[in-house]
Amino acid sequence: MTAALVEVRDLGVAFATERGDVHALRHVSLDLARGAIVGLVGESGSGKSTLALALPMLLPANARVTGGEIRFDGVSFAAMGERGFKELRGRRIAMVFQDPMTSLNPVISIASHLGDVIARRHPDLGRRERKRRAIAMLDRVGIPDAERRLGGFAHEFSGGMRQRIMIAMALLAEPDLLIADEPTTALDVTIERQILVLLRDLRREFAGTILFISHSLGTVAELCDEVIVLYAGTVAETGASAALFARAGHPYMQALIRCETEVPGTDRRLRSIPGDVPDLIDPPGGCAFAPRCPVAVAACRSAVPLLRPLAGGTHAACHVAR
Amino acid sequence: MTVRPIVAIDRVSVAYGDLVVVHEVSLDIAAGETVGLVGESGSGKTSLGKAITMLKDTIDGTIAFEGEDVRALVASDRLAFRRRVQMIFQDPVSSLSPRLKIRSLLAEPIEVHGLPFEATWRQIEALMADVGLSAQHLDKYPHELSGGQARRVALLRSLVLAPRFIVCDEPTAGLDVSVQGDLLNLLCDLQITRGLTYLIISHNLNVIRRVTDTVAVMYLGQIVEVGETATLFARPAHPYTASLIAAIPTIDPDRRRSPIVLAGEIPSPRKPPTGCRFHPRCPSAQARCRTEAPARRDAGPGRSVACHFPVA
Amino acid sequence: MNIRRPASSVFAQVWARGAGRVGLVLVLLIVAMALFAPWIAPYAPNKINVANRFADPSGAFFMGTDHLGRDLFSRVLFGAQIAIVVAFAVISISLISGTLLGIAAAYAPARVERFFLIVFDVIASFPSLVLALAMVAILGPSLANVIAIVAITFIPHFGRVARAQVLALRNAPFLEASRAIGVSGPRLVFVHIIPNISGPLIVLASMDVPVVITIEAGLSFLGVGVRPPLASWGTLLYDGYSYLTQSFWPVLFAGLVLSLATLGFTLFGEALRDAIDPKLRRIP
Repeated sequence: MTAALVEVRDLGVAFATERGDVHALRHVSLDLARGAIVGLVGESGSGKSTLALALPMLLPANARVTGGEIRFDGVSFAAMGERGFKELRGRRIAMVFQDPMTSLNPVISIASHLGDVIARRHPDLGRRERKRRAIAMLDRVGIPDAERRLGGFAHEFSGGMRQRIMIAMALLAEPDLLIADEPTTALDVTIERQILVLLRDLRREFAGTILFISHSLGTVAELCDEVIVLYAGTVAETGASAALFARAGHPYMQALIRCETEVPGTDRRLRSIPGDVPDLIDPPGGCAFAPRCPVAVAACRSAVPLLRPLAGGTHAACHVAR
Repeated sequence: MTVRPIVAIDRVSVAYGDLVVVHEVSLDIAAGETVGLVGESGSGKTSLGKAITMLKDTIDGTIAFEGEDVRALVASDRLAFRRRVQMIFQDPVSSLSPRLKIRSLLAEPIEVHGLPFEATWRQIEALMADVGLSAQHLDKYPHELSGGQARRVALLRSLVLAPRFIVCDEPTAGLDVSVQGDLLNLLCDLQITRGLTYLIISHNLNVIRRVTDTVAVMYLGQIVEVGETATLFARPAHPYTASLIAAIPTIDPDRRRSPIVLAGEIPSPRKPPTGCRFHPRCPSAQARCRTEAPARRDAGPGRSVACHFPVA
Repeated sequence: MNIRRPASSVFAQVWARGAGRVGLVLVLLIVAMALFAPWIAPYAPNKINVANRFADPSGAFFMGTDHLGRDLFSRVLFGAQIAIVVAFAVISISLISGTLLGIAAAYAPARVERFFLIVFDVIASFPSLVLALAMVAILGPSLANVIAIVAITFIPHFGRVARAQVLALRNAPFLEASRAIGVSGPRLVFVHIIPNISGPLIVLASMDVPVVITIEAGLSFLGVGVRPPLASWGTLLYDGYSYLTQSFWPVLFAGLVLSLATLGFTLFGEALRDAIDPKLRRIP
């Protein structure tokens, strides 16, 4: 088994704000295996979008890495330099966002968007071959009448179609890593289903790794091979998707699953997780979930739990879970 | 149902310019009930909600609230109507006037309706704890609140008027799963203590399944199926309902049916398909569906479906 | 949607810019001159002293004297009063009526709206100064007429911006939510609409102040503005210009003060615009 495509070790990222430093990621360690679809789940403020921006080093100006390292294909970010990052962003990592309009220029045709990506990847290709490939890819991602619509502009397409175009652009770059940040959140459930089917079909042709970021447990459960659960900037639990959703060990993940699934009885009470996400300017000393955890013990408030294997086959950062 | 419905919608159409977004919709809502309205974006569910609350004019049909045709209301009755029928909007922060503090926003309904200020403000203070707000929120501006808090302010602004019926448009949109339950529980509690009737508009079928008594499914401006929530989710009759339910992503492998992947997207209401509006995407469409629009027919108690070939 | 900022922070931002700081100091200086003119002025502005005609600047006459021996410094101070009174009267009248007409146009039926816009366009198509000249010629020159006429020529400015702002705001969810609560009519306009369109209008108003000051000075220079012996910067310039061969001091000082005033209000207006709504900044 070769090493993982992405190895993150003890990563910390903080944002400078008026109120002080917000520690968005703290001691995050994780691997993204080659060829896998890895789900990254977490609620608002969990740090999942920060991680998505840290991998291609697209963090905003007020963010800084406070510690740890990221290795991409065995090469440490520390040894990469600005040219290395450019190569990383331009060729090896592609991104798909929740709102495709953030990445599609409204006055540039779809043909030019796709053509640019192909030209960057294969500078030697002729104009006709580029066009042929663009049409084939649009066809592949399910844009009907691709040849005619190639000359169109982003606003002429529906949200679902734009997301397909984004996926087409990402795949034409032939990246090693595709980061999809909430790609289906703004879509209707029927269209989301179409996109999920598309992504699952594509993996037969696409050799790279997909990091699929979502707050929807169901979507992640259906699509992903492995899942990473973030809570308040830390990794709470990781594991194979099937094991994690069947036998989650971390109390946070268990509570989240109950919120999502439990059909209420006659009194209609729905589950929620009491309390609030901790303030990341001054995060709690021990386990980040301890203040809301129903099974927390004294150790949880003093010592940061490390990820360790559980009987159910997952790894959880919890003192109590077995 | 033999009781007179609190809201009776009869063949109502709503249009923006010449774009008809709700087409001859009929629906009865019984007092004390929670009705869910589901469908994809573009199905016209929010427009129907606004028509019921008189925020959007209808071009055809009648809406009766407690037996009174709302279009016949004169100006002074309209203000009284607003006290009985309220709406909570989808985007909670931007549905609060950005330059007013929460205190002024909460005082506004009292002033507009000329309610006794002291007594009503005391009620608000009492209610604040119930909905999970505290006095420290009063001096904030809407953009300083979280989505959940802003939604509670909007809810409180409505409750001041002691309404009988509330339309909730996407009440959990943008809320984390871990706090959605709190808000939905709050809505249920208020329903019991204050005798409310709800119409909950949502595209989140998980939410609809868990909090409603009855569900109405809309497609391209029409209601295609109505039924009691549990039976509708267990045995959907309209192919569209079936595919919507099957499309919900679930973490439970046992509940994962082989999903019916609906082809294509919802068409524009400018050029609705002939016959049954769903036929171009329907997995079980036949020749008749292309030419003849199905009427909604009764299909058991509290159940009706507009389909020539229902699946259940 | 622009987020509410407290006034104190807007002024802090104006102060933080070099140009804004210069503008603010000049504006405060001019306003102080106008406000305290009766106390600062060493002489009555219209006190004629023929023996002292065309005096050069000295300890006794800070800026010298004019062709009638009146103290130029005192006249410049009272001229500031005229400039400020005219500017603020004109801007207030056109800001308030323009805003209300603009809101009315935005909510009026399409045909009424078109009528409003045509009237706005007709008024705006004449240069303010030319229109004012024509009107004063008909109505006769007086301070009140100058204010009224210049105000009318500035109404389309505010009317069009207000209308565009309301159109952008009309579908805002909070307006619909307010209607759902039962808010309507004047309350909707004054509590919910105006506070949310005021930023660009205030910026526009502050940018128009120097224009109005110049127009007033221009009308007075041409003899159709305020009547002598009232001291307007425009009449000071005119008088100085007539006797330029005897003394250049009146023209120099009156011109300098007028330039500094317009410069100050312009710099202040631009800094205010950047502080309130950076989106309005024209791309250089």
